[in-house]
Amino acid sequence: MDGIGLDEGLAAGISGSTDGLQLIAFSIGEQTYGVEITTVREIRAWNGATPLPNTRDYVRGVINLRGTIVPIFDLRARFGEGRTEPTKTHVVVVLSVGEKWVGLLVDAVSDILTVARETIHPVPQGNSLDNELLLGIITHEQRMVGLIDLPAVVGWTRAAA
Amino acid sequence: MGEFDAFQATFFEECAELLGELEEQFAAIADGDRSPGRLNAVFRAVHSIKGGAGAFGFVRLIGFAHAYETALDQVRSGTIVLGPASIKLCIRANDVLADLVSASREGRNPAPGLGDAEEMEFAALLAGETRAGEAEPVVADDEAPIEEFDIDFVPVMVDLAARPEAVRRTTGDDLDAFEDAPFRLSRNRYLIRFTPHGELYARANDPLILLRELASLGETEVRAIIGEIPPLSDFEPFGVYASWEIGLVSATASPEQIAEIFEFVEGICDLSIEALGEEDVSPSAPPAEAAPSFADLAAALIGSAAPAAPEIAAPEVEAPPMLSLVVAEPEADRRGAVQSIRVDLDKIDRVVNMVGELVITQSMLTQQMDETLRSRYQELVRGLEVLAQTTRGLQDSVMAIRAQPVKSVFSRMPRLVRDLCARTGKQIRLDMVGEATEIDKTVIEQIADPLTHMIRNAADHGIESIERRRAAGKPEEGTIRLSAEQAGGNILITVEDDGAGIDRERVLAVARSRGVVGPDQVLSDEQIDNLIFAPGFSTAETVSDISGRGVGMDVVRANIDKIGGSVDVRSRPGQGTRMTLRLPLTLAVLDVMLVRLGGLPYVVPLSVILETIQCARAEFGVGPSGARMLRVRGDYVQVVDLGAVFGVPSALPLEDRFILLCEAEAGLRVALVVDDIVGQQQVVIKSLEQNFERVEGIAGGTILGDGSVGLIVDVEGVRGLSVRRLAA
Repeated sequence: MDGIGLDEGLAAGISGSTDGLQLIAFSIGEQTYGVEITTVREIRAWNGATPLPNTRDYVRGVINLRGTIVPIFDLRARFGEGRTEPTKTHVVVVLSVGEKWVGLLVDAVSDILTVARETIHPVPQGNSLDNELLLGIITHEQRMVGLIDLPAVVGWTRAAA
Repeated sequence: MGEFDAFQATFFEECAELLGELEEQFAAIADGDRSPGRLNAVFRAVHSIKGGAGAFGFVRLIGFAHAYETALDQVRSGTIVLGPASIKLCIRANDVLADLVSASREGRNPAPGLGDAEEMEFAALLAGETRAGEAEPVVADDEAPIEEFDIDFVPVMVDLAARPEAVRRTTGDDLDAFEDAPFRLSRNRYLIRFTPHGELYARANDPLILLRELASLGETEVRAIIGEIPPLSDFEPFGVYASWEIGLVSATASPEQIAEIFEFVEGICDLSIEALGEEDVSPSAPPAEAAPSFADLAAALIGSAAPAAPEIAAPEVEAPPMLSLVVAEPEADRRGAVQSIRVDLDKIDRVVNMVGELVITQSMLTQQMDETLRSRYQELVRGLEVLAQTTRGLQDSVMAIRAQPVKSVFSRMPRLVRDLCARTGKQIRLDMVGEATEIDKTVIEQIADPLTHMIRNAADHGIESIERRRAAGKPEEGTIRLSAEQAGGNILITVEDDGAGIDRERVLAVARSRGVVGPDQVLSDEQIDNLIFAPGFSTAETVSDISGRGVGMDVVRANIDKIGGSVDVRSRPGQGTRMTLRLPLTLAVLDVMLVRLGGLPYVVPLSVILETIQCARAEFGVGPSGARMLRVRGDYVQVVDLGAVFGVPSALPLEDRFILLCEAEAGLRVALVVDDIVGQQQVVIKSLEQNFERVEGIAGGTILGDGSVGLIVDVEGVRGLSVRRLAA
């Protein structure tokens, strides 16, 4: 398998306080984004996807994940920065959104972060896409990490997901 | 789910089966089949429902089932003879029972008064029964009551109330040779008393086996002595409370032979074998204690609930130890039932899916074998051939597990038709044929709704009112015929009525007024008939609550399309309408044509492909709107460039490409242009919606041999897409 399962030892080794939040951080160009670690199912290397006709431009297609079909969303395209030209080093983060499993195509997975909830700041007004797609912004070691609103990113409202 | 909930769920599952069984048995009984097997099956079904209801304390259900059962018991014993009226009553009672069961399942109180009328009628029937019982000897004294007596004799269970008469008659002078026949053979009678000790059970002996052994010697009548059984509160799990008395009538058996049967339990039971001499010795007086059968023993255990008691005591107290041919029969049936197990459908689905993957992997492996490999690795080739065979066998067996007779859906329909008759005032008979035809369970689940709509439609729009039928010179009672048969890889389900047929003029007028059909379009009769499946189409003059809400037939088509089936309607004015569902045998594996578009693989279900054509040989034309058309044997067919619709334009010139001539909805044909045709194969359908959402033009996905995802083309969706593209 070209995917690497989430190392439980690694995850367990990080001490998160009760009001802390563990994130998996990944990068798209210079930007860093994060999702809550509990939603992550699997991280795999990019190995192509079957394109779907007549869908949103940021839907890269579908892959076979051990017999089930999982859609792949191009996070770069979603943030309006053009389609990713994926290589073997690109990564798909498989996440659960409600009952569904989806994959996010990102450049690389960078880190596992533990942050305090109070360090999550609201998204500054201005960039409407960021407003729409992020739950908040976290400052971690002088980096800005965008906390992703998954249902919004994949194009489902919370209710639809 | 707690254990109790799980038991309860099992009970309701069983109820559903038993209610289906009742429906089925009464369908046969109403057709004049009064065989004891059917009556017994009916009795057992009601009895089982009552027993389960007792365990869960569904009071109203117990009460009604009890009243019903009591009446049935008298029917079974022959005291009440089933006439058309009482059969109708029983069928109504089945419906009441079904309502009570569903009320219990949903945890609500049944509608007040539900079943009261039926219960009263049962009571009346029982009251009438005593009179009939008194009348019987009078008939018997008649000179030639042979047929009467014959009927009296046939019921397989002991005719408990009437038999004492018969016994008395055996000593009379005016004996009829026929009547006498079963008694005049010289056979020995034995009374065997058998009381097992705890030890017997501890050594894993089963009294039932011994009793069956005994039954092999001759005719037996087994009575369980259950007077010792304490109330449940004092019941000790390992206590031994039951003993048996067996009356044996045998021409050959000697006391030694009988003793031999009990050889292995010697010393761990009390056994007495009493020879009663030749059989016309008058039977010994029955014990005052009730003499119930196994079934009643079970009932006594489960339903210490009061209502069961009087029923056990009432008619059977006076039962003489008559010979009975059937005591073993219910047991035999139960033995049959034990041979099946309940398995969670999810587990089977998992196996079906895995076998599907296996079939595909196997065919992929076989395809990899080219000639050089074949000649070099002959052992491998042979191994692959065996694998192919085994896989096929495995697939067939697994499919057989999930296959179910359509009966499970059909059996809901008689009730539906009865309800419809009651509401419309029409008289409709439902004939069902081929209920044993088996289809995959997943398909069956999908056809219940469409079939209900079709039957409703036939009853509401098809069959005319009684007055109109009379005026048309037809019998007042309309007939709906529901049939199922297998035809090749498909199942055909037909709903046929002998009603007025489709009013084509009105259908066409409505279709034109709603813009479904253009004002100048000329349609064939067949096309007009099929308009009833058009979305939002309904011609009912008065919108009833049965059908005619404008939803219905289009939903039927949508549902059937979704599972890869098709629906067709043929109508003859004044004579009736026939609707045919063509369904795939299974949904698990789909035969497809693998094609390529812009280098990407797509699959098209084989069931929709009429033929494949090379573009170089095709005859194209240009339609009035400038769209390209394909000329096929005089007809023009819309051409759809699949690559263009899916956003993967072809790099090939048209003449190097291929056409799949496909059938979309309502017999509409469409020519799909693809880059290349790779070949046929079987695929397992995977849902896109499970993790994503519906994609227009795509029916689902599948995993191809190389592990990538191939998309399944939804031909009707593609046709719609291309029509809209043209319009834009």
